[in-house]
Amino acid sequence: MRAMEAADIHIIERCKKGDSNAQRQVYARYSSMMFAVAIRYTNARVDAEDVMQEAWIKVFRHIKSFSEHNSFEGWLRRIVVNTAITHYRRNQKHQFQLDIEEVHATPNDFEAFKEIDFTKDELAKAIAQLPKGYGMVFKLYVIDGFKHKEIAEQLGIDLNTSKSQLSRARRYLQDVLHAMSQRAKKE
Amino acid sequence: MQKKMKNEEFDHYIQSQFADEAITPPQQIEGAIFAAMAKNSRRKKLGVIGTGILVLGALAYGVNGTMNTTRVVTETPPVAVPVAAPVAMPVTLEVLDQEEQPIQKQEVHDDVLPAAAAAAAAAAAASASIVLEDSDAVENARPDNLEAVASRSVQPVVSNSQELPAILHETDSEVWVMPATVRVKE
Repeated sequence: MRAMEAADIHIIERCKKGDSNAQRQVYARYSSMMFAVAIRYTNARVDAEDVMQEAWIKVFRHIKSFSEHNSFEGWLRRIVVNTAITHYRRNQKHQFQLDIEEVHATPNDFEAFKEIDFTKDELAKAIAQLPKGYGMVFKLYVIDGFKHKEIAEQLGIDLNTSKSQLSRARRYLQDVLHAMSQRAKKE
Repeated sequence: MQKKMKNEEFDHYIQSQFADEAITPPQQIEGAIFAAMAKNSRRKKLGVIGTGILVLGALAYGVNGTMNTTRVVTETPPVAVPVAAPVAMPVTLEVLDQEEQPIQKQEVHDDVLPAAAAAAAAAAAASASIVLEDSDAVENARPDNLEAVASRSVQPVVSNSQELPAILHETDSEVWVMPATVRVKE
C-alpha cells in the first residue's frame, strides 16, 4: 500500500470539508482498486457495481473519521470489503451452511504446482470457484489480512468454523490449481 | 510445522498475486455515486434548515413561556395588596366628588355582594365609620378583591408595614390608599 503523501493528506482534508473536486480526485485515484476488490468478493460485475457505489458513499460520508496516521488505501479497502460482506450476508445467508457439505477435502499438494506461474486472472478464476462460504473466509484471511476473530464477527460464524473453512478452502483451491496445472502441462 | 509453512507459503503466493489488483469501473458508476452524494447533501441541508426552524420555534416558545412565567411571578406577590385597589381607588374618587351618603345605602348592596358588605363592615368596624358613596364601584368590585379589603382593613397590616417587601412601599397606589379614603365621622 502506498504511503500517505502530503498531497494525499491535502486532498483528504479537502474531502473532509466536502470539496467535490477533491472527492472526484480521490475517486479517480482509488476507484480501480476498489472495483477490483468488489469484483473479487461478489464474482459478478453487477453486484460489484452496487458494492462499489455503496462503499464510495460510505467513504465520503465517514471520511472525517479517517486519521492521517493510517493508510488511506487500507482504510478504503476495509470499507469496500465490509460493504461486500454486508452484501454477501444480505444475499447469501441461507446458502452458507450448504457450502460446508459441498466441499470434499483434498490432499495438500501445493508443491506440485507452486512452480507454475499462474496469472492473476487464473488465480481469480480458481478462487471464484470456491464455495461461497469458503471463498469469503479465504479471501478475507489470505488476501485482505483479516484475523479469524474479525472474520467470525463479520460473517456471524464461530471462530473455529472460520479456521476450518480456511483450511478446507486452501485444500480446495490447491486441488483446483493442481487440476489447472495438469491441464496446462497436457496442452 | 511443515504443513504450517506450506500454508503460509501458499497464502503468501496468493496474496502477492493480488497486491496491486485494479479493474477500471464503468463510467456511469462515478455519475451515480456523485449524484447520490449530491442528493444526500441536499437532504442534509434541508434537514439542517428544518432543524433550525424547529430550534428557533422552540426558543421563541420558550422565551414566550419564560416571559409569561416571569410576569406571573412578578405579579403574584402584589396580588394580596392590589386586590384592594379596585375598591379603594374608585371609592376614593367618588368620595371626594360626591356628597356623603348615609351608611345605610351600603345595605342595599349587601344582598348582591355579601362579601363586599362584609368587607365594608369590617372596614367600618376597624376605622369607626366608612362612607361608601359610590354604589357602582362596589358592584364592579369582585368578591375576591373585596375579601382582600377585609384583610387589609385590619390595622396590624398597616402598622406592620415595615415587614412588607420594599416593592410594596413603592406601589403607592394600593398599599397606602386605603387609609386616605377613609373618613372618620365625628
